[in-house]
Amino acid sequence: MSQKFRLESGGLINRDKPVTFSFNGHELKGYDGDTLASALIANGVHLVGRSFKYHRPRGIMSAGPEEANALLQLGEGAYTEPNARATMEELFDGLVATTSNAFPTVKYDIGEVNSLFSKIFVSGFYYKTFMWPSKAWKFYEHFIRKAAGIGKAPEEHDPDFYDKTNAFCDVLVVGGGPAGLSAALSAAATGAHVTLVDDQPRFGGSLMAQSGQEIDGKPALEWVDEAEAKLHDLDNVQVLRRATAFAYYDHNYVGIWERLTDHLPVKPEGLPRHRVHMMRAKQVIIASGAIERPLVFCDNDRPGIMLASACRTYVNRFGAKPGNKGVIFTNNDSAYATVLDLIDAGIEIKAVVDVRKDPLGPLMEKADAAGVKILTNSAVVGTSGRLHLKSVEVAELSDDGETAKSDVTEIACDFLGSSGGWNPTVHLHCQAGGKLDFDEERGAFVPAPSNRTNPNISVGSCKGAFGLADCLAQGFEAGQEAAKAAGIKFRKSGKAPTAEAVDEGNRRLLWLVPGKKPLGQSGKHFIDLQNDSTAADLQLALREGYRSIEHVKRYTTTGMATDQGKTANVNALAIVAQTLNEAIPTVGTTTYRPPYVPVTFGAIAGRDIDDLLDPARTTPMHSWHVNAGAEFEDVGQWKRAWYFPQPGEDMHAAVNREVAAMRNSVGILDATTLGKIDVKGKDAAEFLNRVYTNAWTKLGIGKCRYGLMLGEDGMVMDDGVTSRIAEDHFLMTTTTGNAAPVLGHLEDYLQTEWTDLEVYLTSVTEQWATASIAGPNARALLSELTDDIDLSNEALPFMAWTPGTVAGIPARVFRISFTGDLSYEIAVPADYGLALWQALMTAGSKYDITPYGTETMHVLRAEKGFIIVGQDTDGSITPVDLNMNWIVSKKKGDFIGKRSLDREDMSDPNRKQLVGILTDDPKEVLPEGAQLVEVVKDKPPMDMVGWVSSSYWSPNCDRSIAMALVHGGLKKMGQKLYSPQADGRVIECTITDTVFYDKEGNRQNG
Amino acid sequence: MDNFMRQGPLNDLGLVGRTSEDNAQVTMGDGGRPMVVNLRLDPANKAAMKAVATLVGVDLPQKANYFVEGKETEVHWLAPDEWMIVSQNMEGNELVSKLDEALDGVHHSAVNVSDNFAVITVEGEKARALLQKAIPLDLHPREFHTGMSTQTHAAKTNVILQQVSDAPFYKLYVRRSFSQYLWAWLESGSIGFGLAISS
Repeated sequence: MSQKFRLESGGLINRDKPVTFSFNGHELKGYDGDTLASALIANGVHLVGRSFKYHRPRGIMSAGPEEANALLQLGEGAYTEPNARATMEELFDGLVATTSNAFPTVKYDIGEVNSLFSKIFVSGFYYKTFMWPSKAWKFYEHFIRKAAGIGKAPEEHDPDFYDKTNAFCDVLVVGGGPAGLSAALSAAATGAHVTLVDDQPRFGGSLMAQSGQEIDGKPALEWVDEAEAKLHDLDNVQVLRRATAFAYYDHNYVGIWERLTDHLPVKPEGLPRHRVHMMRAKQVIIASGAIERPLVFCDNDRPGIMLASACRTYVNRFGAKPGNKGVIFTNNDSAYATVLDLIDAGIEIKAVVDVRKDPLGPLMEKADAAGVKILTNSAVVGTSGRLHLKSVEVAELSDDGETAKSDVTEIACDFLGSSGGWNPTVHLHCQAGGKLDFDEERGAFVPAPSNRTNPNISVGSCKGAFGLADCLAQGFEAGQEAAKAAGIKFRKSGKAPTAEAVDEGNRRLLWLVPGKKPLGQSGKHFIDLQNDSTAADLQLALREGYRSIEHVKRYTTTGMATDQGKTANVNALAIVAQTLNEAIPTVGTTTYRPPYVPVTFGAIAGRDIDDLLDPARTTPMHSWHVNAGAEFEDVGQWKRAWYFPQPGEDMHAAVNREVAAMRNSVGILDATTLGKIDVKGKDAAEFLNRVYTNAWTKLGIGKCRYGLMLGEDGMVMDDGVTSRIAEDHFLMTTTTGNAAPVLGHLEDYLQTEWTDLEVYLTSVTEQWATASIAGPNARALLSELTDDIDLSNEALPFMAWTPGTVAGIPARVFRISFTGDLSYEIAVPADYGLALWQALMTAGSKYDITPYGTETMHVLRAEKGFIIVGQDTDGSITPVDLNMNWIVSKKKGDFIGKRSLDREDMSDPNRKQLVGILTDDPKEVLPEGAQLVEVVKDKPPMDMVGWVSSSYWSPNCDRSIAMALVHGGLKKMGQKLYSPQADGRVIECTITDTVFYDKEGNRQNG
Repeated sequence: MDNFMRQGPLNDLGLVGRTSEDNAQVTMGDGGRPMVVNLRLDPANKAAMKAVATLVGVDLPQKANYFVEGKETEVHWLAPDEWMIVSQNMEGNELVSKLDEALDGVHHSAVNVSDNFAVITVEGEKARALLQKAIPLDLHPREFHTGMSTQTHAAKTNVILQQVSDAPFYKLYVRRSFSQYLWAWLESGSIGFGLAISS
């Protein structure tokens, strides 16, 4: 029989459904209902991995999410999953698991040599050893990273699909054990919308691990089944199994991670692997239970050493034996429940080693009556067995418990269950900002009353109420209390489920169990099994002067990594407190941070992946650009046509052709993406006076004006052309990327500062599609498509607009120019954008009309020295710096940024100013961002006087052109500058003005 | 103006040629090209409110996040002084002219934004579950139900969400440049529900 450690009967497994799986290449059998861990235990696999730092052999140490050793690699190829806790993975047919941290095999691991040198691998070893010489760290790091670390991340694209949803309820109950079920039932009875989540495939929590419990006079699991059936039938209850509440944020926003297909041998199509529920609950009831605390004794990490409660879980829930002959090591009565159940299952208990001098408790009494050998005032002081526990050494304790007597008894055994008491699972309570009280009697942190931001109630053992009767009563109370707080009106009815109250007995808190020799001299007292940190490491950190528990945590890495110290933290801080001779609450806990358990990135991303990561905004003409083979550039979220390469052309060639074609005949640009704001109201002109630097009151109807918008700091924020539609009506344009921020900025002023102004703003960015035609033939082209617009210079001069019909479409035609050439921007309702574009292309064919993209637009505007906000400005540039004093009105009243412009620093002649730059070699194009210096030295650092903001090859000037921000640049016309390059070359150049082409500005007049 | 020149923002998706999945539990569609006019007006001006009501055939709703139906129009509350007027029959510029005339001398703003939006319809058994993935408001009928319309966001876009009927049948008014993204996002979110495309 392969499952040598499977009991003949019992457990919540389905023995009619055998399951085949593989571990480290061996084919093994288990049953439906097993976890990977329970199946390994049933097969007698005690050695499952190697530890993180010393590569010590390790076995399964728990039966829950606190597992620190059995972190296995699951699946293969793109589906592989690192660091899966074997205790949380349900077994299914075909599951493949391997040990992560061993080479070549888990039995013979080369890394175990680290163990021989463990005396030097103490806390801070890497910090201390590899800091010199500092440059060599990168070399060391490569090897250190390879030796440490555990699982391997898949290298392929994740083929699974994940989902994420918003969710809401009145009462969220976290945990489907007795307290949680009782809470869910009582909350549901009020009519409240209840969501119940549990991380297991079935409800019952700790009841699944126990035996002989009764609720309302029936076997506990029968009560659980009935409760589950009742909840299932209620419309106002949502039940999520295999779902972990992993994060608790403000205002009861709780992240729930549901695993839908991991346990299925064949993954159904259409079902996501994981789903995150972003739950906004009015009230939260936390019934997350408690995690047993291991005792910290010498060499407490051998395969076969586990939590006492885990031994019980394997026997009762999975019908699997942790071993054949065991020792239970405890400081409290609860471990005797394990003793009794194991004896019932036919497992030999060689002895119970109890640190208490005078143990009290009903379970102990039962065990005593059953003839179990109980060694009081005793401790396990050592263990042996390299790959599997062989024996333990037991000695009597001194009076104060700080040392062990020298008379040592060796007890042969193949497993040990240890219990140091219970730690309430307070993670969610603390993530929610809840404080903790210290229960001196139980040696446990328990939740203090919750706060107002995150109203929640802890019930049951996560509140320190470990008895079943208390769990049920607290759950019932909390269910009604939460429903009431959530605003549900109901009449109190029903009563709490009942169970027999049991005396917990007494305890002896012995945080650090002494060994045969003083700490650190022989063997290791592990605190954190996942990080291989020991009690000696903690004491070393304290000797080196660390005092804050947060510092000690980071220096020793105790409580870090994926298990977040679920079994380590309280032991660690108690030992720190003891060493410092301080009270445990004075030392305090470290911060509990989300996630409670590791959550897949895929689940957090949900559908926001690949093309859906961020919106791609497209214009009505987008499909035309795609068909024309355009390359696209991201501008904000917009996809803008960047350039239109013809066959065989690279970007440089395409742009050169487009630039020349526009200047020679006519080019066409999709200008739809510019922000557009409809400004309406009798105070519209005054409003513009206040938001732009120049004056607007006298702008005639039908005329357009360029404006520069400043922030309150006087720095250029945005620019654009605004046109007057009517006396009380303007159309403002903004830069593409700034449309939404500018509207927000303006609304902010209207609603908070200038409530006296009668102005309404409406975003019309997307109402209009805009095609801009530019070049000497623009007028001829447009005249073919309109018969109701007089295009003469007199009727429609530069900086004027008119309504009319273009290609049969009602349009607004603006004679404005960003190219310096004769140019019309034709705006039509967006649905007609494509039709307009096509009509212009068709009619324009005789002029060899050339579509151009943003890159050509940039070259064309640079030839004219027109700025781009955000490229030639960086948030620290004023209009004066741009040599645009002409646009700053000296006469009108206040405008945003005006006062800042009067600051002394603003008139410093040495501010960075925008100038033109011509390279001495006309063929040389400066890289954008290049630094400029006046004096070249052999090597950096050199005094930098400025940097290149725009730089292009200009086909029309037949040379390179550039703009730069240079300290005091406007007074340095004609001065030489140098631009040292990364490759050692120095590009020589000269400061000029910023207009490189058509300096007289005749071309835009047509 | 020839109608064939008109191209709605969802046309590029080729929905007409799309086949529906069997046993689809959610149906999505292009909600067409209704007239949409954005109106800003001080609701305290009773005479002006009445003048608008006469033109659009229904009193402007003053209850937050609701819409009302007139004979030819639907009026959505967007803000205390802002409404969205939707009609399948009216023409935007014409209504704007009439509103401007009726509100002459009154501070207001009526803007034709018909081309600003795409309308995506979502209906069927799983419609709410699908939208709930994208929308951070509680869509349970006790919080959001037929007759309501609200500005919110769906995935990473702004939308105006309207529940038209208990089926449930929803309409999402989305800025046109975001509409193909939002369609693709919702389609991706519908995996497992079965998706039908309404004609």
